[in-house]
This record gives sequence, structure tokens and C-alpha cells, in this order.
Amino acid sequence: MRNIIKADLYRIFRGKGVYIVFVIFLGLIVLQTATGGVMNVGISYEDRAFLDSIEGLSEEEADAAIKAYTQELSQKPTGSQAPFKLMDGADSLVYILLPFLVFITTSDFTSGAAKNIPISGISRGKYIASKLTLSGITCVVMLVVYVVLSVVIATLISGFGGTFDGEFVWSVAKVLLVQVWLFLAVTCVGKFFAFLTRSGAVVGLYIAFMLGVQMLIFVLTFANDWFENLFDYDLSMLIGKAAHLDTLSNGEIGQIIAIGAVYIVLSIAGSFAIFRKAEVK
Amino acid sequence: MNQAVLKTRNITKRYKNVAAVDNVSLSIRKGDIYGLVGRNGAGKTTLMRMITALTFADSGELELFGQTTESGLNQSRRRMGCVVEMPAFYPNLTAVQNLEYYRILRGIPDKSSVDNALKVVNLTDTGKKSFKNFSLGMKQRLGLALALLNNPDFIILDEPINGLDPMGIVEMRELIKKLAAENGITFMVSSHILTELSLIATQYGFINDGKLIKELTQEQLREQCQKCISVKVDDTAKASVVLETVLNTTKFKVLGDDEIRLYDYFDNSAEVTFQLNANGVRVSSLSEVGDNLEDYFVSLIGGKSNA
Repeated sequence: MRNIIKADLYRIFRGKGVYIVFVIFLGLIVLQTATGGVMNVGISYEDRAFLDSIEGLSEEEADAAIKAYTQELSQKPTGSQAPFKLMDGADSLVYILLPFLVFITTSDFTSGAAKNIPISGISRGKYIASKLTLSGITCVVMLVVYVVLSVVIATLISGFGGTFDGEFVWSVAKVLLVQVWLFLAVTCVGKFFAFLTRSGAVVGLYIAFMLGVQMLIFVLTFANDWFENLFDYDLSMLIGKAAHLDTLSNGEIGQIIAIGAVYIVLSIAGSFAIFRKAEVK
Repeated sequence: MNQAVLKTRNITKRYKNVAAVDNVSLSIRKGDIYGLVGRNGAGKTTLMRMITALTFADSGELELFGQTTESGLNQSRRRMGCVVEMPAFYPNLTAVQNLEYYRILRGIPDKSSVDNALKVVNLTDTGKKSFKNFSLGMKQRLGLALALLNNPDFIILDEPINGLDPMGIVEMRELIKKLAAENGITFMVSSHILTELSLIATQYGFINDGKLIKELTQEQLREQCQKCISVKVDDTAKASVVLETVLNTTKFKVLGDDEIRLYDYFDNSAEVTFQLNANGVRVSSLSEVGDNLEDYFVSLIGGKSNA
């Protein structure tokens, strides 16, 4: 399994794709830090909470609240605020990370090079496990870089604005751990679709699906508030929610972790079931 | 030389209700160059795909280097090199990068194995040219280089001369013969061109409609395809003496009680009849028999309409 990961890393760093992803990733960190996390794809957990809070207000009160909210959002964060601001919008990373991670697998199938794997005496199980492990490592590294760089950039722009101590590190690490777990869930689902379709088009379809479902739930909430419960099962929404761990009860945190676990277990089991005896072309 | 590298026992693969490979049992011994012959769609590639784990048999058993379990088969496949269907690599990587990827993946510690494999297939001068810009012949050669990367004991090549120019075909043929002779590598090579396979193979398996219809050694095929005069006589012992003493030839073979196959006197068969009769041997029939390779192949698979 280690050899497959090493070989994949060798291949990835010989293509242009990884460098393009790095540039976009760094650009996103800089933009999000500089704009105080305003840059976001889809509906963030914070936006949703704000929209809930202005329900029932008069038009003037709502306008004033929106103005205050956008002003607050556009304030440049200090180094100590930056990781939490950015982790709130970390679901945007999904749309950069996911195509990259899924592409690592689908390129094997689109090029036909996947058939050289079983021929080499590598079991399907090891192949799937190595792809998932590499994706997991990439998720962890990218999220850690995301958080660390945000602190560095924000500190350079606005100063640290607090005390860098164990408490700060732990509060960041807690959020990071839960978010990594949810990113793993997103990746596992992406990999499942990759093994299911073995086509590059799956990336676009998955992203469209993720955004589409989020938008659909949002629209449905106008018809009935009950649909808002579905957001609790939407992974990108949960990533944003995990950024506010301090405001969540232990039960809510446990629920987030459990939902992530269900996605992970089901998609890994599905990947094995589909690919274990599949024809490799 | 009798150790079996590959054995299949009643191996079957069906697609919907059609048997692509139907109860095929074959055995390839160490050192063989096994030519798998069949027309397009006969089941050659499906059989190779099962051996290489690209697909799985519905029934039957596969044995590689004595291993039959899934993990044992995977271990055995590490001693193999294969090119099944068209060679496939990462299109944006060069020849060296592609092979280096597989060197790392297979855990081959010797870094020079990449250059060595490229040298063997004469593909050392491709530089920064990426795989997607390779000609068909170059792709075939890179496929063979990948098959050679791990110093295999057994190589499977599916239609290896497809896309090669006449010079490339000769080179491929010579390379297979050289690797078999010098490195003791066992080969399984498929083709629908029997004449091409006949130049390298030591053992043949003919496959048609998914069934292995005949297996022959090189000698047996040569005999089958060698032209001769079949002479039906009443006394083969006396006829043999006449052939040796009167007609001065030893190029004949006695088949059963009443037939002699003569590999001589093609231009003067009347003399054979005359001398046999003159020496008290009664000739009931005399005819020229024997196919060329293509005719033999066509007759095996059931006529020209099937070819």
C-alpha cells in the first residue's frame, strides 16, 4: 500500500494539476483571510444562522441587521480570529480539494492505466485502501496548511490580537479535527462515485450534486421549516457548523461526528463492494 | 522443464448468456512459448484478462506458479509481466516517468531497471515526449518494457504485433525468442495470425467461440501442415522396404496398418505407384495431402465463413 501511495505522489508531482491546485488553494487562503472569510461557495452555516436570526424582523430592522452583518464580515480578522473565520468557510475547500482527490483515482481509469494494477499483483482492496489513505493524508495536510497560513497572513495584516497559548491551539485543533473528519467523509463519498462511474465527469457531477442539494434544501425551507433539518445531513453545511464547536452541545458534536462516520463507512463499503469484482478496462 | 507455470481448469466466463470463454483447460509449462490462436472475438483476450485479474471467472480454477488462492495468485502475478489489449499509461508522463511510476508501485529497488527495460525494447531516445504523442509501435514497445520491468518469469502478450510495421514485427519476434532463450522466460502470446505465431511458438492452443478446440506442439503442427503423399497400401512393411531400397528415400512415415505418408516424390508420384506395384505392393489410393498454416487454421475453426 505504501508503494502505491509513493508512486501516486511521484505521478502527481510530475503533472501540472497539483501546482494549479496549490495556486488556487493559496489564492483562496489569501482572499479569505484578507476579506475576513466573506469569500465562500454555497451557503455557509454562519449565513444560515444569520438568516434565521432576522426572521420576523421588520424590513428596516432586517436592513440594519444585514448592514451590520456584512460590516462585521468584511472586517479583517486578527491572527487569533482568522482560523475560526476561515474554518467557518472551509466548505469552500471542498470544491478545490474534491476534484483533485477524485481525479487521482479517475485518471487511472480514463487513461486505462488502472489495468496495470491487478496485472502487477496488487489486490483491489489494497488499491482502494491506498487511494483513500492518500486522500486522507491530503485532506489533513491541506486543512492544517489552510489554518496555519490563515494565522500567519492575518497576523501579518492585522496583528495576532490575543495570546498564542495552549488554549488557543486546542480550540483550533478541536475544530480542525472535526472538520478533517467531515472532509474525509466528503472525500470517501467522492471516491465512491469515482469507483462507481470510473469517469472524470464524476467530479463535476458530484460538485453539482453537492451545491444542488444545498440550494434545493434552502429553497424548500421557504415552503416548510421542517426541510431545514436536512441541513444537518449536508456535509458542507456540517463543515461550517463544526467551526462553531464552542456554541454546540456535546450531543450536537456527537451527531456531527456520527453523521460523518455513517458517510465514511457506507461509502468505503460501497467502494469495496463495487470495485472488488469489477471489470477493469 | 515440466513444471507448469499456468494451468486453467474448466475456466468459464459468461457475458449475459454468451460464454466468452467456455470450459477452457490448458497448461503452459516452464520455458514454453504458448501461442493462443483464434479469430477476433474467439475468447483469447477474455482468457488473458482472467489470468491477469482484470476480470474474474464465473467458474473453474486458475493456477499460477502452483498457487490457486486469491492472495497466492496475486503473489504469483508479481512474477509476471503482461500487455493485455492496448498498452495503457498516463498520457502526460514520458516513457521514463511512466516506468518509474510502476517501478515505485511494484517496489522494485533497482532504479536501473527502468533504463534497462527501455534499452531492451529500443526506446531510450524518447526524451520528454509524453506517452500521448507516441506512435502505436512505440506504445507497444513501452508496454513490453513495462512487462519486463520486474524481470518476470512469465509474460503474457495479447496481439503484440498489432500496430507494428514490418520491421517492428521482426524486432518483436526476435525479442520474444531471445528473452525465452536467454532469460528462460515463459510466454503466452495471442494472435489471430497463425503464420506469425508459427515463427516463435513451441506450443499452440486453438480457441474458437470460447472453447479450446485443439492443442498442439510445434512438431505436431508442422506435421499437420506439412505436404505429403498419402499412400494406402495392403502391406506397409513391404512398401517401406520398396521405398527405402528401390526409391531410395527415408522421408516417409507409417501410419497404422494401411497408410504411408511420403514426404518426397511430389513431382513424380506415378513412379511411386509404379514401383510399389512392380514390387508386389497393392496401392489402393494415392493422394497429395496437407494444409498450409492458414488453411489448417481455417479448417480447425470450421471453414472459411468463420475465419
